[in-house]
Amino acid sequence: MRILIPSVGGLGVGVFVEWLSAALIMEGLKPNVLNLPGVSQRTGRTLSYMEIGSDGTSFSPFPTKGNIDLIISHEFLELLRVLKEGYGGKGCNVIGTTYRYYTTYEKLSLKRDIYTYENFRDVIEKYSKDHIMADIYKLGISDFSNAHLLGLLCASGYMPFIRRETYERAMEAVRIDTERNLRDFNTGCELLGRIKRDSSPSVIDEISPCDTPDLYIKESIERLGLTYGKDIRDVLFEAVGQIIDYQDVKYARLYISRVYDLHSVLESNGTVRIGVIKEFARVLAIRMMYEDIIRVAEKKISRGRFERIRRLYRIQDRDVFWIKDFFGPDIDELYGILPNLLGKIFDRLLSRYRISWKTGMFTNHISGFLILKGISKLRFLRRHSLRYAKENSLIEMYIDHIRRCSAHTTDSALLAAKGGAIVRGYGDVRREMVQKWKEFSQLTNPHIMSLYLDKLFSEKRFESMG
Amino acid sequence: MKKGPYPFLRKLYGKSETDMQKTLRGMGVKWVDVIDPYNVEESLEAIKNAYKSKYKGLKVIISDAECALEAGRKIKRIESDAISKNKRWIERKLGVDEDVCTGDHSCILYNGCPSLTVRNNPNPLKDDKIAWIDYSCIGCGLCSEIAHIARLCPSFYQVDRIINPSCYDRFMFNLRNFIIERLLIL
Repeated sequence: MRILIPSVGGLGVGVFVEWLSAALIMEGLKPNVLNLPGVSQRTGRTLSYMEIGSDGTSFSPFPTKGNIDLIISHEFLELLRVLKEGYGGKGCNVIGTTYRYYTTYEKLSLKRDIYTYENFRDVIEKYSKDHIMADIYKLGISDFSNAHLLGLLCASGYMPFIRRETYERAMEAVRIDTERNLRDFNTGCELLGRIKRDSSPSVIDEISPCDTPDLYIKESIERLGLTYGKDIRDVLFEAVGQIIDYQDVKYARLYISRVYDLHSVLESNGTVRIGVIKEFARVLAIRMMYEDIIRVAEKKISRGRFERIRRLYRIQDRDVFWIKDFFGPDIDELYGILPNLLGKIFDRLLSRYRISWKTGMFTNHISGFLILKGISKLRFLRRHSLRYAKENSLIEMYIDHIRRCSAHTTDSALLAAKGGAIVRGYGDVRREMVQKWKEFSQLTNPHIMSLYLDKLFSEKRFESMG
Repeated sequence: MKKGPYPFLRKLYGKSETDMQKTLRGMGVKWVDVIDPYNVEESLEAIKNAYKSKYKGLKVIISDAECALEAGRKIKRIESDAISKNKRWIERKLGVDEDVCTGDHSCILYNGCPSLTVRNNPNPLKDDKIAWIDYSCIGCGLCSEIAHIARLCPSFYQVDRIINPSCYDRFMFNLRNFIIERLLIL
């Protein structure tokens, strides 16, 4: 049997090969292993090749194309690379994860991923007999390790001559963080059933319906849903639910009335298109739920967050842990929550200074928790605050831009609706993005808008920020 | 205060016989400063001072801390040893709050760490990716330090998990939890 293990440095392939070799030897087999390490520890390409025979004869020091029985991949891009290089084939099984290392440029870009499992599933299917790919985010395993992968390999049956207890004995023999790795191995063994069941869409795509008692909101959503279809209805329900959680029902009514108003404008212009309304409904909700210090404080002390952190770092009930949060709000973010008139006075006096309140706070200590709880209780001030007035005027500019564009072409209106999403971040980053969006909002020509938007969503938006 | 990624490692190494600062001074370098590169604010200040200084000769800044990866490897050995002997141990990890991250990716602009990566946004209204610290994080804390100093965002947090906690740790943790549980309802 010939096994190829493509990966990148730092993912623990060396340890994985050690476990697998030890298990094979324990089963009375004689593996020949070739390791071609890349940049050790950090992201260089690594390649391991194993040949397993009962007599220990080495057939080839290097993998030969089209002559591989099993590819085990820790990194998705490397898997695609070996498949495209011709190492896969109709006799080759593939097991791996959809996890991948991103280049810094890819990470900076806001554009959608190109190299995803969804986009390349057909390539994997074409160059393999059978494949098992674990999506660690769908499975909810943030720290998918090589022990998980070994468990998955054990459950897959691709190497039926190694028994489960042999894998466990091999891991004990190699003696690397044995307790944790054995736990991960057992989790990995259970994963196969979950991966096979997982043909349904991602949890992320599920929309929870809003159970608001407000009749105006319900009727408006249903009416828009009848015009544009289920997609819009789902987005609106989700948005309304989140806005009520962010502020209150009154604020959600304002949101719905804004969507409805734009729908009327588009209808009168004859530029109605589902894409425009859907994008507008989505981006408007995000813009209306801007992240002020009240929102950040709320999120930092939410019960869901503590539970998520426990789950993420596998903190048991008996464990003791501290969460330290890092805050550095600018002075304008602090006085931004003051009532508009008072805030304006501070704004006039202080806006030219770059002052920020940098602090680290233990959120699950009583003092840190009480400070954040106190800030989160200031929600009643939000709609009278200086920050709200500023954000509201930006939102009005955003709506006006779409209206202006809709008078030209539907494409312009769609680009204008999309462009609003670029306003994001905190402090200096947000200021920079607002400035860039203001420049964009002067445009109505779809070709120029498209080019400008392409730049805004790529890593080039940071050019002026160094 | 010089720290590095794991300050207590210095105590384990003991004092070195050679001192780079003294060696440089012995060689006639008059302007020498020592920084802890894991303290970004202090490091930036030292570099600014070096640029602004009116001194005409050679200026040397010694970046005095161990590589986080190398320190991390040593720490793993010390950690497993300490845990097996039932000693109190703090395991540190960094994270990004998915609810607070706006997905502007500015933290990635200033930070080249491969552990700081991106993932899908769990909010169905947001289709862009958010920042994410994956499992290869060794807890050096530089990402949060950079985000904090550059005033980027409040998404970063640090989790210190105490393995083999003392009775005092446990008592204080339970007391805090008891009070916070009641405050959460308010």
